[in-house]
Amino acid sequence: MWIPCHAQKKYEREYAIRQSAVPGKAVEFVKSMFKKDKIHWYGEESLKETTIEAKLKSGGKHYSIEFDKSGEIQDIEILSRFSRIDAETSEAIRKRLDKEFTKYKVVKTQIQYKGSKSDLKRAILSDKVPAAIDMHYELILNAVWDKKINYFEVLCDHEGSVVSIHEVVQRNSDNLIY
Amino acid sequence: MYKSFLAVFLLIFAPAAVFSQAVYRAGTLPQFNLNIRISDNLKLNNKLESRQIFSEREEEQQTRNRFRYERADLTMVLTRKLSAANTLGGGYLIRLEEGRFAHRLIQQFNNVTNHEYARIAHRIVTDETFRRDSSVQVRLRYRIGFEKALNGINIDPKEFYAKLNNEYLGIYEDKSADLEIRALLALGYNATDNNRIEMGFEYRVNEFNKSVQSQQYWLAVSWFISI
Repeated sequence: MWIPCHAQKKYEREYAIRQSAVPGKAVEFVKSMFKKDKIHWYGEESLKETTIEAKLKSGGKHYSIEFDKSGEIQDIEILSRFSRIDAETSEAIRKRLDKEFTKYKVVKTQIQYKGSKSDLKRAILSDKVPAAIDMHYELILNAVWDKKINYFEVLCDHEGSVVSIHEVVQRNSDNLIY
Repeated sequence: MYKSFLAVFLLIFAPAAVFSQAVYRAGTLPQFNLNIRISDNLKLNNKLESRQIFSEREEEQQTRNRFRYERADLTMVLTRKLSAANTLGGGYLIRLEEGRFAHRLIQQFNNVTNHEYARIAHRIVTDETFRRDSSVQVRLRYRIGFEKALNGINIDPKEFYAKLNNEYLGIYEDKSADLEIRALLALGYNATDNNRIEMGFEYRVNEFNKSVQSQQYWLAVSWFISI
């Protein structure tokens, strides 16, 4: 496990794209799990790479399915709540966050699945996570870290160990404040 | 998105059709904001705003369609971050109107939250306005604002966005209370994250304590620079 001494900043730029501009294997993979649901496609540029993301709502759950630009699956994220994480794991996460941040509030929780196409498909369709799936929790915190007041993205593994912390670069909101 | 933009526009500004009988003012409302980052958690907003009237009608008077420079405001508000979503601020405004100055003290609280497809902002303001030979005017204001990217989820550089504001102002002056309601629908362009321009239409209605309400129709242009 490695925790950065200084939270790295996370820059992202995203834009809507048409399904026709998405690699066929990405479309095929999403449609194999979500046949009737409306899928929104986005391109996402970060400092490291360009990815493609499918966002959709199905059965009351919000899914984000991320691919590399060739259409290879990277991960699936499902919107959840911190209170839904099992007690032992959430306690481990809390202990770590208490040490890392002066104060914090979890404002968004996503469960992240990584694995082969077939294991990911089984995890989504059966609601039972195969052992081969690499599961993480991605949290967004409204927090104070090293006197910095901001949102932070924290990635934890399935046992609650913190894998990384990124400071989220906030969009300018001066036009909404003044 | 464009269809909903048009529908909201018509809903808000259709009352303009009744210009002929109402007490109203119509004109332009340009605004320039220079926001200076003082430290990680402190920001100073300097705002220069003016109003130019092109058409107006006062109670029991004829409509006047001529240019009139109504007033200019210079505002400075210092805000401090309380959390990633909340800020607290205080400031001062000086207004020049018909050769006379007015002074205003401002206290404000803001909450801005990011949602899946939009940003929502709440602003609560109290202010006190002082004019020579007039009672102090005290106002309590609440504004809700929505901002939505027209392409994708976030408003990135070189992208257009839609903005909708709705504000309610309780006004107390000289033992009399009034209400003002404002609505703004604007199209914005985010040139960079520190340079934005917005253009839209703002409708205001007040003087609910009189038999005929006063209405205002503004073409609003706002420029926001952050350094």
